[in-house]
Amino acid sequence: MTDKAIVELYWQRSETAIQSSEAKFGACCRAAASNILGSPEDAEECFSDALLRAWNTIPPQRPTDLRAYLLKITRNLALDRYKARRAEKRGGGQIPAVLEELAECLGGGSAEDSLLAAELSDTVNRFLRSLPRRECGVFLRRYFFAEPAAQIARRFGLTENHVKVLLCRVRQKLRQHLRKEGLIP
Amino acid sequence: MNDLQLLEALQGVDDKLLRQSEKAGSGYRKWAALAACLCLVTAAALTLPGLRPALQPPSPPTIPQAPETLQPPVSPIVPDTPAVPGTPTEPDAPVDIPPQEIDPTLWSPIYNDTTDGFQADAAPRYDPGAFSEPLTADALASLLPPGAGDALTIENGTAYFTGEGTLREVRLTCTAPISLPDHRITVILSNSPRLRCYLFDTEPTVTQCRGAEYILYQTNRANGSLLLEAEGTLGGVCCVFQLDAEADTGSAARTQFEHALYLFAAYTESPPDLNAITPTAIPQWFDRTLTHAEALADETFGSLMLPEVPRGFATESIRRYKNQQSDLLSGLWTRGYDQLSWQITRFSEADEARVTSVADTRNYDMSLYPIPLAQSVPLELREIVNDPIFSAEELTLEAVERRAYSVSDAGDSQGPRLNFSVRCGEYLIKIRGKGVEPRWIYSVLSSLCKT
Repeated sequence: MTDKAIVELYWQRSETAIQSSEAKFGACCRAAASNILGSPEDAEECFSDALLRAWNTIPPQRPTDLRAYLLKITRNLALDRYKARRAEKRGGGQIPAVLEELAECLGGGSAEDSLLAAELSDTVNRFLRSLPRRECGVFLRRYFFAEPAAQIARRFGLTENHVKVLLCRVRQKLRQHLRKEGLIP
Repeated sequence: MNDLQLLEALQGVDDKLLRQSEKAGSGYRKWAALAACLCLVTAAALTLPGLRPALQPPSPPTIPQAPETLQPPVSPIVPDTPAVPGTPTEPDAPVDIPPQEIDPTLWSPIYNDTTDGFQADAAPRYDPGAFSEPLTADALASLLPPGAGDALTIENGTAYFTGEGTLREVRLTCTAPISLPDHRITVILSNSPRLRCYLFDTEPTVTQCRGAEYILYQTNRANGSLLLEAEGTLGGVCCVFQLDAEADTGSAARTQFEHALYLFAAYTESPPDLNAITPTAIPQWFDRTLTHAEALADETFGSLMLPEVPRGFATESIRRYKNQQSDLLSGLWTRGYDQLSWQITRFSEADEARVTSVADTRNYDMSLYPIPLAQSVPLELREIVNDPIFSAEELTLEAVERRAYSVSDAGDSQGPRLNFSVRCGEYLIKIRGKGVEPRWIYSVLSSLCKT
């Protein structure tokens, strides 16, 4: 079933929309959540919440790419849960390592707290669009999907070391980009 | 901003980029498997008797072009042809590497960001008599890394020698089929150890490549351009590599740069013999201090030397200097803060751009350009207004007077200042004056050049 057809089911308020979404997108969304939270059970709860959120937002939303829509909702919920757990000093998953790597992009400096999230998102998007396709793909698999480097290496037919070096290079580029945009000193 | 905010900022990533990141993965697996199969088939065809061609490097496997959304992997380097018993071979002959077959996954360059380091001052100490010669085609060929084949071209090179004729270093300009337009890599080779390009608080990261150890540097400039540098000692030869890349060429420039480093790493096993590079001739060099009388008697430039000293001025220094680049006679006379510099050289092609007619006053008339000159002189005239050259036959008193200007700097000479040059046949007289009357200078030039 196409994304458009499933979105139409949401608009018709047919519960088949939920079943179809689960069948088509459940695996990738659960995997993304599991990478963030380190727990399949938590990932399952996240995806269920994501489906509920989709049900409540479509309509009026009419996403053209339902996979990306659900992924982003799932990821957002997983990050929220991660933040809550971090406060309680619980949890695992890839996120601690991912955050440590991304901290390099900030170079030890900090920008004003008043920085709008949308502005940062735009900046990062522009940066990603400027990257060669492979570099962008590897970067997103690591920092959006929180996939381990070994898994990314298998996906792209690279060595794990090459993936790590590639990520290091892109982080350096991102740091330069953020500096150039004046978002970090 | 903190690391978590940065992570959350990825929520806004384009859906299209997300889709591509999922598709790219599966595509690479498919093409990697296909490349592996083709390599096995090729290797089998080459090793089975009757199928193997006669002693030629095997052709690279052809990887079909990937669909539009995918980037196919680079095919691996073709292995050396195994020897067939009874057939004469050159066991150490390197296999040429076609340019499209350099596998970037064979090494993982890590660049040290020079923002955190200090650029070391590697300027060589003054070496009187130092000279240079362009390298011959044979010399350039001897410097090509073994196995580079057509993957690298050394366009030209220059050897730099000390005044005694000892090789100091060789500079090469290299390009490759994958090079960006107008982007050339400079390679500096030397038998003598060099100071590191940059100094850091901690040891920089070293990257291994085919048995070579490189330290790579990357400088990101404010205008978006990029300077890539690398250094390493390969087979006892100190090597420095540089590529100046224009803005927005970062990824392609790095690929080009790393390609060259990969090829030059072959020096580790088979370094070039820099001692074989010797000068064809050692240019004459001298640097003599002369008296005024000796200067006037100089057989090359003496006839154009300042014949008499302005009243009250004393000789500061008179020098006759010659090396590969310069051949001149120059004198300096002073009177307190006033001074007169008089230098004679041969007129060269490079001086043509500054020759002006007396009629073109905008090229030399200082009354047209108030100080600061950087703001008043048009950019296209800056070179000629800075140091115009008059023809001796055309020179007039008015032109010399227009050239002079006055300043009132407290504590300094209040006299007129001027600088210009005069072409007398094949020679050029360069004059710099402070506190010397233009009329006096004109009268000296008239008597010298018109006789």
